[in-house]
Amino acid sequence: MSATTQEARRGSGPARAPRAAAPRRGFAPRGMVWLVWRQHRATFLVMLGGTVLATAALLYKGVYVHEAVAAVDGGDPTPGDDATVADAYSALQAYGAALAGLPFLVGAFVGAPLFAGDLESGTAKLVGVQSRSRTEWVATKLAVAALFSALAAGAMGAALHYYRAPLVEHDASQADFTLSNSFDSTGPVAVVLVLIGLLVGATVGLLFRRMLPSMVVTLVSLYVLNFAWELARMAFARLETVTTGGGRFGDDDRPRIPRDAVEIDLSYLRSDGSLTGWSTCVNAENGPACLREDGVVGWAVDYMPYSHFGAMQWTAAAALTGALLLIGVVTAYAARRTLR
Amino acid sequence: MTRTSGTSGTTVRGTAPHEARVALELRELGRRYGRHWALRNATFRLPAGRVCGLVGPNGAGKTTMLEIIAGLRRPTRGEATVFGAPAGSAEARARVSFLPQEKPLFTRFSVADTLRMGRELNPGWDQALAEDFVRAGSVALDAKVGSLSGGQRTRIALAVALGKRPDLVLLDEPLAELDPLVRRQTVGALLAEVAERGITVLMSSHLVAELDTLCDYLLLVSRGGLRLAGDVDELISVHRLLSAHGDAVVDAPDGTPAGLEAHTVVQAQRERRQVSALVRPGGPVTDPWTAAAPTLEEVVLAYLEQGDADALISPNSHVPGTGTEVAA
Repeated sequence: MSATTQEARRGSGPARAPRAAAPRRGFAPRGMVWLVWRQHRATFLVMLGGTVLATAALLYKGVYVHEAVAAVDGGDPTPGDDATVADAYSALQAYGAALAGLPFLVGAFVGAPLFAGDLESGTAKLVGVQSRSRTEWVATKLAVAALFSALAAGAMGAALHYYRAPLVEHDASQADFTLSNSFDSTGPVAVVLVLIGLLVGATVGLLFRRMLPSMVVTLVSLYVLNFAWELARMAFARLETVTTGGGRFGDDDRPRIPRDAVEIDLSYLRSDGSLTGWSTCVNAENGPACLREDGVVGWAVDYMPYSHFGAMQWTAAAALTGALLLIGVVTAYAARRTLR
Repeated sequence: MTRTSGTSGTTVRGTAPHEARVALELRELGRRYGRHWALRNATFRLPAGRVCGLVGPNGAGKTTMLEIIAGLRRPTRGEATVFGAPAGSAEARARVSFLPQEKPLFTRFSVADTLRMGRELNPGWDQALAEDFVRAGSVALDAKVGSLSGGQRTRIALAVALGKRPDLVLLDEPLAELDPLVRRQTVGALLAEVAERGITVLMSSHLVAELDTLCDYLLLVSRGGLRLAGDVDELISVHRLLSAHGDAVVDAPDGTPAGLEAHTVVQAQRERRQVSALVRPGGPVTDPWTAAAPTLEEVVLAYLEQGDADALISPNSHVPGTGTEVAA
């Protein structure tokens, strides 16, 4: 028995001194950051490449939009300028919708596989038995993925903001900046939303431990969260109200709002200052008489000027950051539950 | 020398406990998944510098035990310490390497990347040792891990485990799925490193026959807890394999063959016209029985088949203050 072992042990000498690797130079990633970068570099490079291309394209097109809108506003447009502006409004919707989908993409294709891939293949164990802690592993993975996600959302959001600005100032009624495809795809809100997508995906991956189911559940979860956010978004808007009086409530008597403002709500104004919906008396035979009888004396329009956009962005981003932190608590619980 | 504990009737034979360094100590370690206990009341010590085989039936909790020691899981109850540090602590993790049964590696990494991972995540990493271990297996450093054979992947996984320069290596079925030649090469390479550095090894395996050549220490666990623990030589030497002609032996009312009352019968079986029994002798062997030294495989299989046999725990595997304590 044990002949091999015993013989080997008889011949054992002093333990070898560890031999160090060749010295490293430059600012290459080290430690856990190196591992995360090496493991996910294809994903991060695709994100980086897509961000650079999309940002450059939006900025390039934005230059032409700025020039065309300036020409139209200056009263000396060429036919090409009019066409450019008209096309830009259509394109803005498409670009905004694409960027509003970024949290879904990041959640499903970056967040969900972040840990589910390692749990599925067993490499979570491989990393877990090295000298570095698993807390560091989880934190580094999330931090590096968050950095690239935030960079993507921030850069593309800024470029879209640049592209959109002249269009809003020219005619905000065609570029509603309070809608999901505009509000959620620019500024700090875009960054926080993409981080929420990442964290939801990572959490689902930790809990489900399988890539494909995690991706599907992440998409469903983000759809539900997005629906809730749709209902909550306008709560962060600070609105202005403009009214008319004197018994003038015809369609032509509606108050005008600034051209860079978005109309949020339209109501009739009664003499006692109360509001009634614009559909009041819509089925009456004599509408004006019906409205007068109801005490209506004019219009009231709630609107949001573009100048309030920034404040709404930061307020909403702060609230979403609270949600992000709550999800982070769930992520920490999921990591603790799954990895020990 | 025969000792009997006052609490559990555990029979203990062997030398007195020595003060050897303890690599690993488990105290009433248990892990539950939902309502199912995967591991229960695991209690033992493993002296440092041993190559220890860990055997037990499927579901006995060997993998769970190794994962707790490696810091991958928290125990539901009890505790495990590695060289005195709680399992899973930074100090313990730095001293332990674990090779899971599936030998997970990043398949898109090259071999060099895999070794770099070890270097980046372990302060005491020995790059030359790891590279030498890989090259000895004729594996190119620029080869993709995903393109390697099972044996080559095992070698890479072992290189990562050894390059960390651990004091305790945990191996979960390291030789499973390897062909005999690769198994022999892998074992040879592993034991050479282990011997050179005096590393403690705890290795679970179903290949009982091979443990005899690999291990100098053995732990056998069953659902009922630890059944065997001690030096392989010692465990074999305290057993005898008795055999007799079937006609010459009648069975006692409890089913055990007559004439073995003086011994502790681990397992007895009647096959055709032959009766055999693995016993721990309590006196001279008398006619019609003849005695022979068993192999380690015979001892292990007897304890595995007879899960409720009296435990045989070497003094240096005892954890003071637990149910298997040695009585004076």
